[in-house]
Amino acid sequence: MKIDPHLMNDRKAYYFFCEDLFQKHKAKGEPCYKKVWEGEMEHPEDLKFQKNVQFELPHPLELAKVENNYFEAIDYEVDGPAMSCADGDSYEFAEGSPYTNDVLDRAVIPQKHRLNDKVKEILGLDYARSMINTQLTGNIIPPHTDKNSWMMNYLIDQKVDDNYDWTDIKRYFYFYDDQKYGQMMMMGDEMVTWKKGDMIEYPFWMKHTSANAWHQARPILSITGCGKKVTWNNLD
Amino acid sequence: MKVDFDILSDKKRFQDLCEELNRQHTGPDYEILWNKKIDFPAYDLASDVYFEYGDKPNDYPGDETSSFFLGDRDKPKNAVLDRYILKEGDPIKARFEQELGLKASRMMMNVQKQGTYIPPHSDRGKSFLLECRDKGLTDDLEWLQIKRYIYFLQDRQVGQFFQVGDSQLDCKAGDLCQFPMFKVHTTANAGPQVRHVLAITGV
Repeated sequence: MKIDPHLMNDRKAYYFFCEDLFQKHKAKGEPCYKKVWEGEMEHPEDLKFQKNVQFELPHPLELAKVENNYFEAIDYEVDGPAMSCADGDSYEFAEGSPYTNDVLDRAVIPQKHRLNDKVKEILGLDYARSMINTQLTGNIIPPHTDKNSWMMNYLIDQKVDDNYDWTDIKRYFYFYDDQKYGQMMMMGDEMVTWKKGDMIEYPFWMKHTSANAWHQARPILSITGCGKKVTWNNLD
Repeated sequence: MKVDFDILSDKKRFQDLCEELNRQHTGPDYEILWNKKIDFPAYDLASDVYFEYGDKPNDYPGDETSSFFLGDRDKPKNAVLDRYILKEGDPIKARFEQELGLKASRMMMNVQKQGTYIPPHSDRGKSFLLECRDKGLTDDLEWLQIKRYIYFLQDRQVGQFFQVGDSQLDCKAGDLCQFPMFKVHTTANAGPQVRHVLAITGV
């Protein structure tokens, strides 16, 4: 199934696309995430963090490119812990967002940074975008599925988007610290557990959410990649 | 081990007690006792009741030595609940007391709004137990006879976290969850809907 970047501009169509992939994924008995690597990754000290980057409503693909949004997220309310809803209201709340703390501190790793090269090498990726996302005490990220607009735009700009299938889009989290009590993350309908140095992979369509009730920050390296290495059962 | 009000008044000793009881505990972190749908009235909630940090064990279960929040300036605004304490004579309170065989109880409707959280803690329930003492209910009371329950008014929504011990609760509307009084617990609501629970402490 070749990537159709224009699907990104129709949030409802993209949502149902993700929902369909999720259902097929679960029907095959696949986990919502899996640990794929463990080891030590650099936490560069020379990065400039953006403070309080807020969870964004979804934008069209072109706008995401201009605005360099991070949370090119898309979501609809669901009726249970699984991604099983058919439809519902969106996060565009009629009376405004109920959240004030749906934020992360983040630093994007420059494309030519050695850390990005290491990420590509370890994970067998042709392209990667990595960023450190630090969730401070008391902050949450609502359930969402990422549009990965940056990667889509990058593939278009590189004129290589025809070479890839949807399943070549990869998502990973690398955990810089042990999980602390009250640091919670959910992938699909599964709770995530981790140790320092764990790298987990999850399908790009997987809904996820997190909260940090512990008194220390939770830093992770969030990676969006593209590569031909098969990491999940083929869903075509 | 009988309830000791000197321990109850000393945060550190109470924390040590909870850790010791937790070490001795061999059962599950929590149990679902039953599921019944119960209609609740619309209570007059107090908004944004702040979490009382005096009740939390400082460093449980990690080895950090810093406390959660050192002073008012460090208090995050999102560690709050909307709350209503059920009064004596409330039919809901009477019903739960009867069904659970409680001689006395404190019941609170806790409403967790989107984006709020409660840090990890164990509840001392000090004021409730002082009331119990005044009623003569604590003379031979064992620590483990202090019962904790959470009644869930709604199905769990994605993004709603409720951790007891090492377990995440995955509750349905009408579930009554029981957990030992010494268990550390924490919650967060990252979902798009508010969460209503009835928190019960009883003897």
